Amino acid sequence: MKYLLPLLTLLAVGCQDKLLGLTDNAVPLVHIKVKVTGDLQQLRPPGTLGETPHLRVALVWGAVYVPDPFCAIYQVLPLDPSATAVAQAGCRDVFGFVPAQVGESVAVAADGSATLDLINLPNAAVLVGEVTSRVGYASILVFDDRNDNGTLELHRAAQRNTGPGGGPGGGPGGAPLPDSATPTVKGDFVYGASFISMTQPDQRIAYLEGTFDANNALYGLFYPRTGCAAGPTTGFSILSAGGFPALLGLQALAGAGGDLEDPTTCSVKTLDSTVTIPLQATETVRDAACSGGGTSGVVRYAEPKSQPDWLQPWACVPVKYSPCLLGIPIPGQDCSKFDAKARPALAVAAAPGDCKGNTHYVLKGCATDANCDAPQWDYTTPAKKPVWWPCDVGSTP
Amino acid sequence: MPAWADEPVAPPATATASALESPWRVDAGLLTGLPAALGTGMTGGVAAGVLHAGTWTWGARASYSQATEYTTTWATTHREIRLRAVGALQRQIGRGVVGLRLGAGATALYETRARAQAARLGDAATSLNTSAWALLPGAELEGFIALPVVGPFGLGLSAGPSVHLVDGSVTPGWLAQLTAVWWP
Repeated sequence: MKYLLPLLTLLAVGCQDKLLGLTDNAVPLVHIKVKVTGDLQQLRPPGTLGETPHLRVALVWGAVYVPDPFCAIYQVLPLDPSATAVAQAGCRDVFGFVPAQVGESVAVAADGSATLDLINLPNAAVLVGEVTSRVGYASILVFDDRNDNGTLELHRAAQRNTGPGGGPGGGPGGAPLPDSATPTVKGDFVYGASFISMTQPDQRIAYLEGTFDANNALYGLFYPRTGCAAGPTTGFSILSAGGFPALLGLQALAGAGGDLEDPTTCSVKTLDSTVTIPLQATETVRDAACSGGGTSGVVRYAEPKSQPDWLQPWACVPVKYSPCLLGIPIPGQDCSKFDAKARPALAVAAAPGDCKGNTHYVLKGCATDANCDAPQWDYTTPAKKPVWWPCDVGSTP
Repeated sequence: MPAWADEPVAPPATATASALESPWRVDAGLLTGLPAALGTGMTGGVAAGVLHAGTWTWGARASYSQATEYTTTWATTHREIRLRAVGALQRQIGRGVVGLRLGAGATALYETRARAQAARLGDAATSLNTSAWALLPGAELEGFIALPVVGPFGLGLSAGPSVHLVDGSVTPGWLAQLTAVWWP
C-alpha cells in the first residue's frame, strides 16, 4: 500500500495529456486572407482629415434584396427623364450588394494585409435555400472605423439627417463640417468592397451547406451568377464574376431568363487565395454598407401631410407597374385597358446622405398599396387636396 | 374467534437475516457525482464493486461515467473510468450494514472537445476537434448503508466527498451511488 500513491502519482505525471476542459479558446473555423491596395489619404473626405484613420476589413453577409419596381425600372430604363433622375438620386443600385449582418472584423496592417478569423458561421437568417442545400454570400468591406469600436456599423437611409457627423465629410447630408465644429456622430466610412454590385466585377465569399443546385429557383434570385459553370463548393469558397449589364439583369428579373455572366470571367477558389480589394472613394461604395428599407420589392407610400423638399429630384410616377408600362407585349395580357400615362404618385428623392432613399406620396391609399380597398388616407376631395400637389388626382384601377 | 388468531407471528425470513453472515458483498448500480476535472456539471454512469469482511474489510470498485458541458465555442465531454482499492469500517445495525468506505486509486479520463459549428463545415473542420487522455490519482470517502431485502439480495446507498489531483492541484468533488447488493 505504501507504494500505491507514489506509483499513481508517477502514472499521472507520465500519462497525462493536457486537459483543456471548459477553456473557451475560440479557435477560428476558417481564415480569409485579404489584401487592401491603394492610398487612403487621397480618398478621405475633407471633414475627416483631422482624424486618425482606423482602417479595418469586415465580413458582411448579404441580405435577400428585391428592389421595388420603381427603382428597378426607372434606374435602368430611360422612360422618363424626371423619374430616372429620382431613381438615380434616391434608389440604391438595384443589383448592388445589400448588407444584412456584420461578421468578423480585423484591422488592416500597414502593408495592407489582413486575415479574417471566422469564429462563427453565418446563421440561418442570411442563408437561402433548404436545410440540405443553402447558401450565403458575403462581401468584405474595407472601412475607416471612425469611432474605433472595432466593428462596422451599417448605415440606414432613415439616419441620413439625424445629426451632424454621420455623413461623408462629417456633416449632415454629406457636407463638410466647418473647421470649428466637432462631429457628434462618427459614422464608419467604407472605402472598398470585394462585392459591390452584380453589375461590376466581384469577389464574394460564399458559404454553402450541402450541395449547390444551379437549377434551384431560389438561387436564381439571390445574387444570381447564372452563366458561371461552377457554383460554390461546400463550406467556404471565393467566387468571382465579371458582372453583367443592368438591362440584362432587369430582363432576367422580368422573367426573360438567360445567362447573366460571361463564363470566362467566372472562377471558384478556395480560401487559400487572397481577396484583393482596391480602395476607392467612399461615395462610390457607400451603398454596400447601407442596410434596411426597400428590400421587400414593394413601393412604400406616404401621406402628403406636408410639402416635400422640392430642391431634390421629384417626378410624378405611376402606382401600377406592369409590362404594359414598358410597352412589352405579353401574351394573354390586354394592355388596351392599361393607362400608361396615369401618374398619381409623387416620387421625391431624399436629400444626399450616407444612404439613398426616396418617398412616394399618393393622395389616397395605404402604405403598401396605392389602390387598396380601404384607404388609410384620402386627400382627393377639393377641400383636402394640397394646393401644391403637382400630380394626377386619381389612379387607374 | 377465528382459528388463526391464536397462531404465533411468523419470524423474519431466515434467508435474509443470514445474508449478512457472508464475508463477501458484491454490488452494482448507478453512480453520479462531480466530474473529476471538468469543474462543473454532473457525471453519470454505472459502478460496481466487491467487498470482503474479515479482520480487515477490503475490496475494489470500478465505475464508468461521463459528462458533457458547453461553452460558447466548445462541447467538452469527459469520460471517466474510476478504479479504486477500498478499505472499510462497518458494523451491522439491525438488518443492515452501515459504514465508512475509503477508496483510493486512479481515474482514467478521456476528454473530447467538439468545436461548435464545425460539423456544419464538414470534414474540413473536424480537425479542430481535440481529444486527450489523463490518468488522475483520486480518492473518495463514502458513508454507506447496505440492506438485505430479499434473500441474499438487497440495496446499497453510498455518498461522500472525493478528491482528484489535476494538474498538480487537489480538486475536490463528491460522489453518490445507488446499487443492487448481493451477498454470495
